[in-house]
Amino acid sequence: MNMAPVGAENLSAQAQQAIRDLLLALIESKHFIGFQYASWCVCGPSVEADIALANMAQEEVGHAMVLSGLLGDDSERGVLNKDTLVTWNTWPAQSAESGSPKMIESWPEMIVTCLAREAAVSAALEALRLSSYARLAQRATKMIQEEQFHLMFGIETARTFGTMPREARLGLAADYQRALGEAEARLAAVEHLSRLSSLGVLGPEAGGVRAEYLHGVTQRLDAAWG
Amino acid sequence: MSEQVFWVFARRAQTDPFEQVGAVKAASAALAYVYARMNYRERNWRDMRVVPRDAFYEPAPGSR
Repeated sequence: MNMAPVGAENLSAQAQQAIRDLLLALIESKHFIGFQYASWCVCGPSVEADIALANMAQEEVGHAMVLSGLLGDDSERGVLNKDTLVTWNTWPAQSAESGSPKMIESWPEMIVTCLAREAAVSAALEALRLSSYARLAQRATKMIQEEQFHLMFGIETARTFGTMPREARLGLAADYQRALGEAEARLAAVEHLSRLSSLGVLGPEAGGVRAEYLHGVTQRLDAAWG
Repeated sequence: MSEQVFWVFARRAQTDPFEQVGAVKAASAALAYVYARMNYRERNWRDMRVVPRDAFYEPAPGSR
């Protein structure tokens, strides 16, 4: 359903609050993924993987900053200011204080965890492309274009785990499902998108678009693992 | 999965010929493509391709 594009000034206070709530959840996920990629960009399995991780970490930080720009004011940014986002060496200190995020020290576990977080975020962004809030729809569209390579990185790296013993692969598949459940719970995309639909910022099909996207990622991962 | 070398080709416009921009080592063509996309970003490439180095055929010496 095509919705007439509107600016932030045309959104109700309730709609603006609902968007802020979802943006903060998306930013937290971007922050988590960026931290994991940045933590691994000097210790991945190859120099090619390291460079890819460094680039993806920068993109995740960039996405978090772009999304925080849509918050409207600085009242809720708090720890998400630019210095925090771009200065990797402040993150461990923050991690110690807040308890999260922490570097995932197993390469396969980091890959499937970040893949699950990427899938959850991308699925929400896919739905947000349909938003009547024009700036949000534009930014979601741009991010999805970059995210497709992040997902491809995760899935194709996961494919290399296909040579692991069956038990180990089953364990990773279970890790992915657990991580996806956690990612969904942290993002609360179902609730946020439903709220935005009821407020007229998204059409009723948004939830279905999100679910279909997630299903597609799971199918690609299943195919990669055989 | 054993890794192999892929050559990376790219072009900036649809009418440009592809030029070799580098090489990556990866376990599959798809992973090589992602590595290429992420490793060779010095220009805003319109199209990018990867091809296994072993696919570059040359007759063995003495068979020409």
